[in-house]
Amino acid sequence: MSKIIEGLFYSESHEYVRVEGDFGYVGITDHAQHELGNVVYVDMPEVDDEVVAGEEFGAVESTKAASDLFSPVSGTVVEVNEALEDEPGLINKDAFENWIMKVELSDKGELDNLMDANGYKAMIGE
Amino acid sequence: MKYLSLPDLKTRILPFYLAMEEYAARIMGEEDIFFMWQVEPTVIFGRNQLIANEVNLEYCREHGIQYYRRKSGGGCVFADMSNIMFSYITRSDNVELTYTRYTTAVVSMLRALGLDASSTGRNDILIGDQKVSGNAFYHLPGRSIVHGTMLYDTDMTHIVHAITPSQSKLSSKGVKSVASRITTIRQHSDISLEDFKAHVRHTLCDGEIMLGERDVVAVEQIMQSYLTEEFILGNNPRCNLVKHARIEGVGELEVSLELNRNTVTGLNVAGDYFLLGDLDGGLIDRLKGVAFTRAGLTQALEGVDLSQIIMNLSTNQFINFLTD
Repeated sequence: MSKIIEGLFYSESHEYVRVEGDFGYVGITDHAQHELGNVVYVDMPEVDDEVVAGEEFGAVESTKAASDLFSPVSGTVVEVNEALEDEPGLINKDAFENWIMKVELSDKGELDNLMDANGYKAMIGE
Repeated sequence: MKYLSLPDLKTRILPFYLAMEEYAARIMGEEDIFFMWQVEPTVIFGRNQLIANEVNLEYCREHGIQYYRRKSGGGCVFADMSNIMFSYITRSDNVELTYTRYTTAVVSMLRALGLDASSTGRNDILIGDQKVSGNAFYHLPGRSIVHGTMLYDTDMTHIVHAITPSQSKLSSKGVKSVASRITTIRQHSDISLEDFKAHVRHTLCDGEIMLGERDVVAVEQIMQSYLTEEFILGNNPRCNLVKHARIEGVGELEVSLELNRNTVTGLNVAGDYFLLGDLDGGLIDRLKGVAFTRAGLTQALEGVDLSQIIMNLSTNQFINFLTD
């Protein structure tokens, strides 16, 4: 059974956002990392890139598959998790601790379109 | 599973078929889709691979071998007309289950021909203990695309040369290919290529969906995204590259480059050349942030006479030195 954390926002394509003030930390859920298996590469955006809710912002590649990443929120990338460059497998160790990008949110209203922990739990059938 | 066919029998470039998979994933109903295709000699590298570490570009250019990037993960493969590419598109979202279902179907199709086929944990299909098919996976929300090679026969010389890089490996965090011992259907069976294809189709599919001219136009539109420099080169992972040469009349020249997505992010020039001008302002600063292609470098150094900075080194010579 995958880990789901209360207080985060979840997308249908298995990304999460942890909101802190005007910023959101975006990563893939524990369920998603479990499905993908051993992560070998994370294709991350660049700092200052603009991301748009629902649009692709990178990819995660595992020994099994490459999977597109879709941003759950819109805004400007202010930081990427550089630790994932050297050790992409950190996502498998703890997907919620090892976020992929930090976004300055341009529209916090978009968070209403995402699921809460219970909604996500129901979606993945756990 | 339905077989997806084209309204004509033309052989197209590889990205067309990758785009056709994406198109199929968009239009498909509940039923799984499968199709086969063949291409003129082409190298296909994985989504997050560093081209210079996987492909011998010089050999490819000399022998008219095309090269493209795909959106699925994994390593570099070579394909020609005697290799049959399989594409499988499904709504199934679960990577493990999808793979297992697909490889099980392919293995039993091969076994029906009397071949000793099996699948491995690494997405390969073997005959005996040698690889006959390598597969890669592209996962989209609610859709999965699995595609792979099926070596009916092949030009081993091209395989060996085209996907072995000429230069020593660059340091990079990108995804590396895994070399395998390969075999072909031809080495184990007398079946003709056309009969083999017919067998595959009839074993795996129970119906057909035919694309129309309008679909082909839509596929060609998707294909454009695979042809851009931004996709082919821009997905190159971060890497460090060192170029070294002794240039007549100039001396030893060693340039260390740091590239990210094929853009120059760092540059260091060393050697025993005779410095005449401002290396930082005149050369290094100009190249930072520039696309590491002949066109990008040429544009960045337009109007610069490098021999005013490094004695006897022409701008053209320097660009050749970096891009050869």
